[in-house]
Amino acid sequence: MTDQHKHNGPDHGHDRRRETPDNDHWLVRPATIRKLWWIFGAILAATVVAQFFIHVHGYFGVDEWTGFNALYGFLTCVGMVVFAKLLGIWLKRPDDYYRIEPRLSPDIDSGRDKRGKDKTDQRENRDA
Amino acid sequence: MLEFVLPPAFLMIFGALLIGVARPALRPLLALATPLVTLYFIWQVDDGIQQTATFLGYQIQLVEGSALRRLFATVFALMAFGGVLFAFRQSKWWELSAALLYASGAIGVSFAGDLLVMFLFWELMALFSTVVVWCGGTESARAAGIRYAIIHLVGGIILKIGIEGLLIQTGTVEIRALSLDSFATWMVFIGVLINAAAPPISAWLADAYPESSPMGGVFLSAFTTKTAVLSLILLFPGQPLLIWIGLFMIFYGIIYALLENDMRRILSYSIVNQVGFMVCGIGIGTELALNGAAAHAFAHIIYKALLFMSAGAVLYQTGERKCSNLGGLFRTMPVTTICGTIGALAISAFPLTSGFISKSMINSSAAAEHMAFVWFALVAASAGVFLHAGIKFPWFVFFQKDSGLRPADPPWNMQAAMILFSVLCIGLGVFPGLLYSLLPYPVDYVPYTADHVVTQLQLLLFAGLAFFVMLPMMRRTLTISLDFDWVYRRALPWVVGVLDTALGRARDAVTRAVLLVGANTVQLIREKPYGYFSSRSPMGRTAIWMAVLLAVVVLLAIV
Repeated sequence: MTDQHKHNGPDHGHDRRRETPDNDHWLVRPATIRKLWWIFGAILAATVVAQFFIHVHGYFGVDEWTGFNALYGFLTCVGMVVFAKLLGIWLKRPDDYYRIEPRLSPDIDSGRDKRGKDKTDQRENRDA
Repeated sequence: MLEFVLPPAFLMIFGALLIGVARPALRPLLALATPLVTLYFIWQVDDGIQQTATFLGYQIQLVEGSALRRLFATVFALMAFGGVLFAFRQSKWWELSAALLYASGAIGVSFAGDLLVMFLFWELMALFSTVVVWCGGTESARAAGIRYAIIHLVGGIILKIGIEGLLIQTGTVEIRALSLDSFATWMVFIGVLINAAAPPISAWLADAYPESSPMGGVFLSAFTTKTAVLSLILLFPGQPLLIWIGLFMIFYGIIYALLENDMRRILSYSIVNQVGFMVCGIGIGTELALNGAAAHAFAHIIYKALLFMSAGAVLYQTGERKCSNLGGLFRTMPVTTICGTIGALAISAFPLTSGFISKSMINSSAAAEHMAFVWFALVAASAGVFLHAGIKFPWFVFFQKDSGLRPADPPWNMQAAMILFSVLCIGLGVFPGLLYSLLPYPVDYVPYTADHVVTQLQLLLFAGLAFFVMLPMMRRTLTISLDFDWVYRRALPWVVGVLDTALGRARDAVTRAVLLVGANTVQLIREKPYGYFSSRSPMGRTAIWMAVLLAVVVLLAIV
């Protein structure tokens, strides 16, 4: 169904072969991912702990608190994702929403509607 | 130093036109050399008005130099070179030529000494950016190009109305700081903001750019919005309204990018988001803020081009543009993955990238002015940038679940362009002095302090945590999101359709009524021919009329 949207210039060397998805690359193995989570967690903790050794110069008071940026960054991002999700209920449409079926000419195509019918009648009368 | 200064824009126009008439073998060479030669001439432009000319009876200032103008012209020329390097073996010559003409419009605006010259180059950009959109070659590119052209031509007319008003009211159209106190300045303001993708007319950007060719998107990402940023710095520095417009653009970009599925449309929304940071900085208007806006424009052009290059490379190699069909490409496209990730880190303003040294100037300027709300909004937005562009783009394109696609890395010239811009992103981040020395005001800002690095890392990494925690809520769907363009793509056609149908019916009804009355009259006359003159009433009307006639004749005879 996405064919119309694909970029179909004449000289693009697309390689559209799809292999069966593999889950055995070392980077996507569950063991690696578990390790990555641990490393990520350690770095997260380190950035907060670092604040005990480095004085943060704040402008508004709140921004000097230990871990303020961590909490603020996390909560605002969750807020934005949730807000986007809620807005999506109202704004999302199927991705062919704006597509209009190509029409050859109003004379040929609009035989269905009322005014088109008049035209067909006229044509028939003329032919007769 | 040459006595006669050649306007750098003219040089690029000349080079772009030469591509068309040159032998095919020479075209790539010309396309690559033109931006570099132009760059040399950009650096020959001294401060102050360098060249005037007479145009339609007006004295116009073709070239005016300043540090700010050279900064923007430099990055436009660099961008043109990088774009050509990315595209020259894949694009048709007319796409390269149109892209260079588009870039020359941007360079012309950079050096425009008055609004008339600015307007001329402004329209040149509108014209050839439309051609670049059309080079996408698909039916949807054709339609999007027409919508794009209409928006920009209308914007151009609004700008022109403002310029004419200024000319009549003040007698001068020199580019200087204006205040929003008359109809004319408002028109100039609106005209410029349309090109900056300001609300409510932001939709043109995400509508048109993703329809271009894999190469065309790289050029489109750079010029139009950033010349608007330059124009705002020159014309409306410190205009408080811009702060709020900028903040709106920032969050609009994040929210729409979060909802989006098309990879280049995600990047398009993030252009609006990044331009929002610049517009906000211009609104704050201090030296630090204006420096920040200019620096951010410079850094942004490079990393956004890099992101569009990596997306273009994926599109070129796979023909897929939807995140829901992509994923797992890191296996076979290592260079593209690394370069795309560097671009994503730079847009997120990670330490040691160009975004870090430029965006933090804008945030710090809000703090220095004690604008608490603005500062908190900007910090939240900085986290949001990492969310919508910094992780979302590389994650859904190069990682996530395996799509089974096994494309190779793109041809060498595309890789070379990506590597060049990656090096620039990192280089500017590691040596901030390179960029700071080009800024319009003296810089005493130090980006790399321990507390700044720590707080920024906290902010970004915990935003990253939020992304992976919320991942189930961000599943890609085959959808688009309604935007303001719904008004002119659906609502207005619907209203016109309703009016057209109603008027058509009214016309039919009138026609029928007239015919009915006429037919009835004729029928009346035909079916009752004796109804009037020959009715058998006692006297007979004819007899009365004969009597009257006789009386008249008798009277006349007597007289």
